[in-house]
Amino acid sequence: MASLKLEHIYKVYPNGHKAVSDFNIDIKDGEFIVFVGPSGCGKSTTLRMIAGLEDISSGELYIGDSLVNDMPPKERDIAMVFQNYALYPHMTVYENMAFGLTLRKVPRTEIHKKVMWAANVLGLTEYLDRKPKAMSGGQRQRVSLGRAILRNPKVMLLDEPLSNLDAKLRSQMRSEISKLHQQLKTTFIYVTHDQVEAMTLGTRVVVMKLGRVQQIDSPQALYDHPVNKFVAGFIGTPQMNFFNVTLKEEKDKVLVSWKDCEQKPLVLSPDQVLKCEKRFLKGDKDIILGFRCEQISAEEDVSGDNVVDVVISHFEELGNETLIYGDLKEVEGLGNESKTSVIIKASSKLGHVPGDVIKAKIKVENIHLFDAETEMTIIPLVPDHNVLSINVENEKMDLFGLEPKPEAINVDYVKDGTISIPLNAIKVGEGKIKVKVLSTEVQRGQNIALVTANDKKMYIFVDEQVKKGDELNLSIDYSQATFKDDKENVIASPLPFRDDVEATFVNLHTAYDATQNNELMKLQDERVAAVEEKYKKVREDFEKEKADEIAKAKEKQSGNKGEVADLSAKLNKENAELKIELSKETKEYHENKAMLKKKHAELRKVEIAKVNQQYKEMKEKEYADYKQCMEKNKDPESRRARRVSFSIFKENLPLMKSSDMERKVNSLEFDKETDLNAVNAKHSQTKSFIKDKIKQNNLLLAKTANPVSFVEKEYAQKAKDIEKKYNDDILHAKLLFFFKYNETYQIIPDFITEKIIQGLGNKVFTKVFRVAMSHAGYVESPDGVDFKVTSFVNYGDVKLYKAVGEVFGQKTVIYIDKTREMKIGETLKLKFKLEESEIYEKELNIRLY
Amino acid sequence: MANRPGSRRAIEKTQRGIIYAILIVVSVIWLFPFVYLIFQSLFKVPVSKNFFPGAGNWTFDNYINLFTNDAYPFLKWWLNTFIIAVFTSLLQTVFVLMTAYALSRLKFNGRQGLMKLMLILGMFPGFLGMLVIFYILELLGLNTSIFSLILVYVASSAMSYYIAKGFFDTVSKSLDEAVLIDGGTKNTVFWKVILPLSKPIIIYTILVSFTGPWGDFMFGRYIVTAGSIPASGWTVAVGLQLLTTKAGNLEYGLFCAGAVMVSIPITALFFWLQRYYVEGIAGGAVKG
Repeated sequence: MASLKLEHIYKVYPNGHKAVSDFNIDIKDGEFIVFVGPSGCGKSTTLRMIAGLEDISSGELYIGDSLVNDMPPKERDIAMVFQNYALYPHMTVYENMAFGLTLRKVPRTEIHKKVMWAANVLGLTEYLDRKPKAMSGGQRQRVSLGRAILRNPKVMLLDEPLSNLDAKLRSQMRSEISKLHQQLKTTFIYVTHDQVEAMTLGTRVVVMKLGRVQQIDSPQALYDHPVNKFVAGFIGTPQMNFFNVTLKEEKDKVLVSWKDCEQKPLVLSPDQVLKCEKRFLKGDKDIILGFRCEQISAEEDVSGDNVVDVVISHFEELGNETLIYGDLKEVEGLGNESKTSVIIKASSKLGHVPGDVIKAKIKVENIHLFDAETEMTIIPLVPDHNVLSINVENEKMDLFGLEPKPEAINVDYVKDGTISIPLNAIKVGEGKIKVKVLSTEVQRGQNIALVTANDKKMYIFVDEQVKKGDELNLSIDYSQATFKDDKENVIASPLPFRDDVEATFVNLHTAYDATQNNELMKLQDERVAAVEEKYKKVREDFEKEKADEIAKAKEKQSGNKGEVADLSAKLNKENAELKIELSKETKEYHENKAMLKKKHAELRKVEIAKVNQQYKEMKEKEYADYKQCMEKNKDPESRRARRVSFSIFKENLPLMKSSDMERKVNSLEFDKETDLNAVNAKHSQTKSFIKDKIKQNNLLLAKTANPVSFVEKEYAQKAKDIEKKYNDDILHAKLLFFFKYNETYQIIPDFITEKIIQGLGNKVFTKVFRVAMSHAGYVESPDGVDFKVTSFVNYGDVKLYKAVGEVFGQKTVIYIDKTREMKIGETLKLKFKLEESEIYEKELNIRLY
Repeated sequence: MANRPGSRRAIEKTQRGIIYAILIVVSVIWLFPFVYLIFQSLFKVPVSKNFFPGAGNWTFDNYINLFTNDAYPFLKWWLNTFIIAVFTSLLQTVFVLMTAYALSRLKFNGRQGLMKLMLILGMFPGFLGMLVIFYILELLGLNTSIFSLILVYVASSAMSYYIAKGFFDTVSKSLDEAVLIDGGTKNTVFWKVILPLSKPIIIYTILVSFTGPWGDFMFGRYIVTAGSIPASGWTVAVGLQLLTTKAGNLEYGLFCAGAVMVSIPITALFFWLQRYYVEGIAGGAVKG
């Protein structure tokens, strides 16, 4: 059992196709995670990367606490169930299940116990001696599950395990898998394209499309709060109803007007769209309205607002309920794609026939609204921006009351404009802005509060102590704000959150050759010396421990002569008995086998004779019958008919007989094989048990007789391990890598180097990197890159210097946090705090750190 | 009334009759030389144009002569060839299967190119390089023994990878993956899963790589001549050829008996192995 962490996982194929992009998830121990999406969305690829069957192009995969990117599958302690079962056809069910443990050299008795346990859990005890070809699809998949669970893996991976089963078996197996998860409490990762499986099995579901994660949420949250139109449409059957609409905010209501049909607008309350940006509410943006079939009703009270006329086209009766298919306007012709078709869930046909026009009421509390352009929801659970109205005049801005406009905001005059402030740019407790909390809520694990000041409402992140009615002080980082005028034109954009600097990756020798800086070489020597120092101590400790242990063993060895003799006598006797037992068992086995073969040969003979007899009788009967008929019957027509039927019989008889014979013989063969398998399996098990026991006895004897050599062997292995580790560490210490910006070389911390090499392998030296630096990530250093300060940027609470430099011929603009007074025109020599940066491979835009 | 059941059946019967007639004629043509050879080997008076020896004219003398005549050590030839063929077929089978597995399962740079190259090289008759091969054997000091043929045959064995590769390609890759996850390596995949599933192709490879050296004349003859190997170190093909060139009555009878003896191991091998030559072993591995 283990947790699992995927960080910025990419899968990029050699042709540049990104099968998986920037996959991030934190999976807790014991969770049941389902990856769902249409085919080609990268879900199976992700699973195979977790299994180690597919290389990870970039990013980090942790199982438990260990990074497993480069671990082969067998060391990851995972188990996998394949869509096509992947059972070994030449092995019996027992051998199939035991195979993994045999490879891991688990003792026989242990394996047997575990196989029996798994067979019990999955109801396979009767089939242990069968081969996969003699089993049905459901049974085979159960064997495959058994093979996976009996190793008690940290993570169970299931790749569309039910896709090859029929509908009934599928739902049965679904509940079995669910039960299994509850029983084992292991982390499950399950891939499927079937959203019903996803919804019923997962504790959390990952919806994917075109290699990107769309949403990670609990099934209920996916159903109730899809983040975009894709998720809304993918989750839930029948599909959600979608319509093109526009939104218009009026005094105390918001009207939803239909674009493709003439229906009365729906009416929403303003509270429902509080988290929605105001620009969507002006009536000129295309919006997609979505609601599910149970959120529109033709049965309850259909008066008042939010009622639409539906023309019924057809019904789908599902027994307990009926789906009414209709349209919001008259559509000509059947099957025409309509933008206004609607599905309504009802308890029955309600006495209607196709063509009827009925009234239906939409429950507007649960509708979904998506931006037609981006298809993202416009009422997110956690908004990322607040958009507020603003006026700017005479260096003053009217936002939360009149306040001086920060110098750096390049806006002189705005009337009825807007400012968009990210929630991340608002800090609670520091600034001068006073607000009052109107309400608080917890969404997706975050506490957010709706606050008000100067008649304006906005959302902020708060901690859990904040309550409704509290008064808070806020400060706002205006460098992150976007200003728009009354016509929606952007008049001031936010400063980039990070500055991009280009770099290439070089090794120590390249850096040294270019700079002739002896310090670099010295650095390497120091690192090597540190490792030497560490291992000197380790070796000393090791030698001491070894000497102690050997002394102990010697003492024991000299004092136990009598004991050895006793033990040796006892074990030799035991071994002799075991050998007798083995030969007895082998004899028995051969007898049994011969007997079985004989028995089956007889059975076969009897069965063949039976079939022969049966057909002989049939033939005789038909001949007699025919003869009699020909003698007695004089009607030419019926004589002809009888002749035809007789000749058909004659022709078909051998075919019928041979197919009947084949069936009988096959089924006998099959029984024979199962019987033989059982005998063989029992024999090979007993044989291995006995041989293992003898081997153990011999080992025990050798160990007791000569403990010193055992201790020596053990410590020789340990010494080898230490030397191996030492060599690794020395190698590591010698490897130093640098980022090169122009002629400046900056050493890269080891943990970042590892991640970069992890992502790109030996291609690192030919790639160009984008180092995205935070404004606080600059250090002045005499051998740094030249940047010239061009201006002072004052955003009130945030003060920065803008500086311009040239890196590899590219004009590079950076913003530096004000840490000291700088002069305009001053040249700075800068290096970068790489720990605080983000590092991307430029060409494919893959994040490496 | 062409669609009357009676007339349809009549047509079918005629068709079947014609097919059987053709097959019988073909098999007679094909079997005739063998049967003729067997009878010839049993003739007392050799080089008779008669097909059947006839009463009182048949004998086992040719066979007895074959094994007792000191001038022509047939038993020695037979054993030499048998040893060469057995070793070649064992080594060749291992190499062919391993190459096929590698080309079917491992992805490496130049794989496609290598496969094409091997296919094209395999199309040239092997004896094109005979001279060079002999010089190489000479350099290695192996040119005086007939058993260097094993090296010659085995060296080119990987060329005939494609049939086995075609078979391995049909074994589902998820079996490999299941083994890797179960804790195995690529080695485990090959020995524990792919091989047990590939009995028919193993048998095929053994048969093919046994019959090749068993009947090969070109290399044997060349090495025998160029390396001046004495008669006790020949193969059957080389020895029998000598018999046909001597053209005496004795030699003719010996040749016929020798030819019959040569066919025995191959027939035996085939009958012994054919029971493993069954299909459907892969059934039930994965959903088909």
